[in-house]
Amino acid sequence: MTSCPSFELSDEQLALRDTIREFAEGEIAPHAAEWDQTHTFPTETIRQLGELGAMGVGFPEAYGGLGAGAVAQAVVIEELARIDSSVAVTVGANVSLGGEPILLFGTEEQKQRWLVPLARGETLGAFASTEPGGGSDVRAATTVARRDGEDETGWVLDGTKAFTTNAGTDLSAFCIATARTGSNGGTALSTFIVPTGTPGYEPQKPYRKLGWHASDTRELVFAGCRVPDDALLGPLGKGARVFLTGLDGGRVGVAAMSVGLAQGALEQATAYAQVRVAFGAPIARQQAIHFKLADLKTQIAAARLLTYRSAALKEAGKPFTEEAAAAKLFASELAVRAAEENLQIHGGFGYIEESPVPRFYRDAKVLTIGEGTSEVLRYVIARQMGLTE
Amino acid sequence: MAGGQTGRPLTIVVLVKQVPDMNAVKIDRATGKPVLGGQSIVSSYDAYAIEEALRLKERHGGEVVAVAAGPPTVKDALTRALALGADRAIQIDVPGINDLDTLAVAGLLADQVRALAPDLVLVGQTSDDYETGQIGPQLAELLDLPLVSSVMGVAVEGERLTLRRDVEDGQQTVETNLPALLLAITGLNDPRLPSLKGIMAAKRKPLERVAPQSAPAGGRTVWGEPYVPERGVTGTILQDVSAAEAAKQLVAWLREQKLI
Repeated sequence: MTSCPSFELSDEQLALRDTIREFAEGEIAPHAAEWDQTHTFPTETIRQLGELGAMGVGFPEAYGGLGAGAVAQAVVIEELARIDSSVAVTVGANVSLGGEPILLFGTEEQKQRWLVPLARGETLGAFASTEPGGGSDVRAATTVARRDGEDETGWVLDGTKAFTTNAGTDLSAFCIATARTGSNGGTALSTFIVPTGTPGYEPQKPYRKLGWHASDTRELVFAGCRVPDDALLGPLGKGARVFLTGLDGGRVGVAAMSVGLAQGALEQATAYAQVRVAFGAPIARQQAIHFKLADLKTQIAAARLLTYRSAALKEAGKPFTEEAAAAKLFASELAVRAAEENLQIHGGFGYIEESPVPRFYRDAKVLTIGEGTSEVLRYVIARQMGLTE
Repeated sequence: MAGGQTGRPLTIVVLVKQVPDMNAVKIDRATGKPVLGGQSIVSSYDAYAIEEALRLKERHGGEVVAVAAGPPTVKDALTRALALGADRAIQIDVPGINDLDTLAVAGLLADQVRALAPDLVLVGQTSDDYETGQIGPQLAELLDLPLVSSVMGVAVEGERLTLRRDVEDGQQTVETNLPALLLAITGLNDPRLPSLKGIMAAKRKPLERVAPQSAPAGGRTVWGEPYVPERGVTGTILQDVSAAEAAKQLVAWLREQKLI
């Protein structure tokens, strides 16, 4: 690496981006409004993205991936979010919450069984940690895993998880779940890979969300759900580490989604401002409008650099907790602003569900919440600064 | 025309031309000259040629070799062909290719293509930029291959080649034998996107960079100043008459011209 990098994508990363862009514009954009309005999870499109290789971009070739690295993976998610955030989060969650923990903590057998088909795009994976009573406060989890039967093999999971992405689609193969494994009410957490279809694995009806209508988000109930010993992911009692490590990568993904959504919103606003005439000229000629657009252009460029940098650190195997938190914080709050300015510039038409503008507005807000709220991210950064415990 | 075909594996050469993205070309208002912004891309008819080569290989087995001539940047066009599924590529270094006339370029290409002894040579019927449409026919002549233009469908059975051609008032089916040179046009197929896996695999495929086998006959193209052709519109505008009267006059004129 040079001491002063140009921060430009490589030819290969650009070629991956162009392919995803072409797919997103050709295969996703024409249907995004319909999926949004009908709350339809686009199974066939997700399958096609898998065939294209979108799920394996960052995973090693030995495990069914392309070995193109975390920056390329972020670029892919960004391009999808430029068109459709629901598709972007389906890919992002699958990769960072389903696949990544298995790559980092799984046994060779677990990687072959669960990661390889996921990276090839044949199956989807989910991660269930948040519960109705707590999200980032992972130690407040009430889901428990108990030893079962006389021979004390296997585990039985009981509890309810909230806001789980990809747990109930036709492509879903497994869900990683955090559960308390400390005996006698101890608080130690562990993570388990639970195959879909296991008796007692009970995805509930999809939520009616403000946005992300075409993504699969459900409450997931474990009701006496029995899994064998080899379902344990990572060391017994170290589930919090599995969860928190996965979160860092997930934040890079949400940052990429945010950059993509903001970019899409800016393009919509720019195009409209150039054709919408008021008082004899396109409104883009008005300083009140083009200053907004210039600010967004600038801030998106900054958010993109933060995002790519956190991905590059991840790719290089360096610590990136603070950078991922900063990228996600900055980019997600920008995405909300960009979506709002886009709607404002569209005026009354922006409030009508006949363009992507309201969809982008509805899809943006969750970006400051999922994978750590803006408040939690500020805490993470402050802690990295040594300002708090 | 797919399916039910037999035969041996095919060696297919596909020619790839790199052109400026015509959607990104702007005209400098001061000088009137085109400013080639944006990316360079694979000429659109060549994309059909590449796709057909890949489909033929999928049906019959064999090898697809992409060949391009030009400055170092043509590597990008060849990399695209490799990402789509070509097995290997040959890049002929011709930095000042735009100063050569088409016959000189066809000569350089012919030297390389001949050495590959292909069963089929697939070429885009014309290019997006200069649109001369001359390279294909010249190459066929230099290689002494049968030439079939405006190809809309290809079927290979043994040594027999059946081709569907687009002609002015319909379609025509012609037959010839391998080896042959085919000119691809819109409608031949629907080109695929490169898969992300293909893009990653492309960098590991052989891309051979070679010097021209003979000195090209250069300096035969002279560039003039670009200009916008003047449009002379002649016609009669029917105005200041009622719609009914205007319609009557128009019909009378059309009859006079024997158009109705």
